[in-house]
Amino acid sequence: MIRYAARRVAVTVPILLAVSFATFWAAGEISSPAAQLTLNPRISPEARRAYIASLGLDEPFGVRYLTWLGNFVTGDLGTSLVRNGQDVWPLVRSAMANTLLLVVVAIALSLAVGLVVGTLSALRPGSVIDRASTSVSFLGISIPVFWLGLMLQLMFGLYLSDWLRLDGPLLPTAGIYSPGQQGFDLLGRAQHLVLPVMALSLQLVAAYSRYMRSSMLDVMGEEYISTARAKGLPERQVVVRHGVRNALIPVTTLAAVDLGLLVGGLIVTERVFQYPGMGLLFLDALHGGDYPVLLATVMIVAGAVFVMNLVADLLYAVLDPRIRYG
Amino acid sequence: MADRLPLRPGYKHRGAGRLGDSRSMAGQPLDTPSDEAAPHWRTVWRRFRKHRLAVVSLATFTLIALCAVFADWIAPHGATEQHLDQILVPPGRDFWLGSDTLGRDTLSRILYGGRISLLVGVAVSLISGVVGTTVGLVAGYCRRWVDAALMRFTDTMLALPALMVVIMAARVLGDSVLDVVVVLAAVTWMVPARIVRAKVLSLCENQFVEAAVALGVPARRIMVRDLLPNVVGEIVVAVSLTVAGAILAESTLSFLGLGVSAAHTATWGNMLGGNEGFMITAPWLVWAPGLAIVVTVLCINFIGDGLRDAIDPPRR
Repeated sequence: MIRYAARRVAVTVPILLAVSFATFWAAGEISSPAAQLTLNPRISPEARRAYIASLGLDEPFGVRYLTWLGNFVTGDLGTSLVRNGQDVWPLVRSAMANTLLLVVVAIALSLAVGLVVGTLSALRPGSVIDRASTSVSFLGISIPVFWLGLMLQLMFGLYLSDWLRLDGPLLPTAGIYSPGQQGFDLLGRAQHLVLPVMALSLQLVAAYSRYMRSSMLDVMGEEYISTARAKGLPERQVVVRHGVRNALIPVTTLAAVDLGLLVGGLIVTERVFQYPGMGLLFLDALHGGDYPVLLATVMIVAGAVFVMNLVADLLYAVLDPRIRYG
Repeated sequence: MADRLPLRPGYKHRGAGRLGDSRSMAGQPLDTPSDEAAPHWRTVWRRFRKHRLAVVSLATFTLIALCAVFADWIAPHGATEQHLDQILVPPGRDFWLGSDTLGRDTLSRILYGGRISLLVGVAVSLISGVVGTTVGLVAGYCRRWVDAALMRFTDTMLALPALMVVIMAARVLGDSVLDVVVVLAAVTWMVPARIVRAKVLSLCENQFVEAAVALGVPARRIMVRDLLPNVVGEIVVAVSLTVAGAILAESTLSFLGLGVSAAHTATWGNMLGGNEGFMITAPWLVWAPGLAIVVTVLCINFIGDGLRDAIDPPRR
């Protein structure tokens, strides 16, 4: 298995290199930091050239790419072009922490709900709970996340508080701290997490419950379930020990892949709720032409996705001893 | 399974055992497309009709599509027609779904915007269907290094954070309808490719393929005449679900300001993106286009589900 993992990593390296090259090229196409200087008549061509040279942008493309790559690999992510020369790494680090918090909470919650609902609907196909969960799942995959986010903001920020005659909004609808907040505030952080987590969870619950349902249906048709029943085990034990535990395997790996994908896929949710994570940082960097930040976010997210895909595959082999990777 | 029987092309492979295996081997040329493919689709339609939600969805979707196509006749106002003395009017007699900041009628814009949103959805899924099918057919039939190379590429594309790729590509390319279609098709062809490849791999175990190879039928002809008709069902299901995904993706891109530009035309996505700031004073501006998206996508998903059940009936 270690050899398998090593081979996967070895394959991933050229892919990540290709991604970095494409991103580097795209970042150059999207915007140039010197663009607005060109428009300003009060800046002389010499000053502009000096600025471009100071950023190293007068070098040929290949040299610039290799310089950036060398710095990146050795841990020097550069400085932001927009945020007054701030280092990129602290920006990325705090965004990463915020995003991870959101993703982990959302996935944990959705897994808990999705697994229970999926199991129950697999045990009684066609029952009320099965049909209800199917309808919710269809809604979950049909509602655009950003629109769900907007509706939640309206609901909890405006309609519900009007209805309950509260002074302010029932739940905060944006950011991670209330205005004027000084220092760390656990309750405040938690309240600011509620709406983004809800917006994310509908989709995730939809996916996990459907997946758990079909996985559970497959498992319950296996011969070892009949064997367990024939041994005279109580049905509860058959379902939980022999059924659920085996049905969990594919769902666990799905959640692991999600963990990686969501680090980048939160762009929309973070944008709607102005949640300062990787997605928002990426969008800001994209719109502001801040390519050191842009490159760092894309590379870290792409790396996370590949790592989590590998983790998912290895997890599968660990959980299900029948699977061997050569 | 009936896969030891030499199936004629044109037959859905799994259904063939039921549909007519007694006659299927009787000395017919192996590579003539069967004219009996038609009864198969009749069976599909019969099964599809039993899925009540799917039928209702098909009717609703047809209605929505017709409204969008005939927007010129139905819409009470033009899509860009401004009534500058009637800005942000709540839903009422003049503007059934209210008006926006430039005094444009929301209902009319939804009708005209539906054209673009639906067009993007259908175009993306057709392109990704064609590309995915080609990749899947070639990879599954040629095997060896062709398969390895194509599938490695497919898996890599699948593993990339799609939304980030789409956003950057959209930023590089531009904001016309064609740009958006190209960008979205580029990240959606992988799923049909994988489905088609898996199916082709199992089809190639059949004797009709072996027979065709032995007869010296050229590879391209085997792929198009023998294999393609047998994967049409899977492709139809995958493509119908892609339409839903593409409409959602277009609206997301437009919401982020990177989709079809509002300067060109209205789409459901850019109506939402442009009006987010007026959510509190004019909630109809977010309710209306959002519901249009949700209802349409829901219908397409139900249709896709019904098609899947009809083409590939669940065994339980």
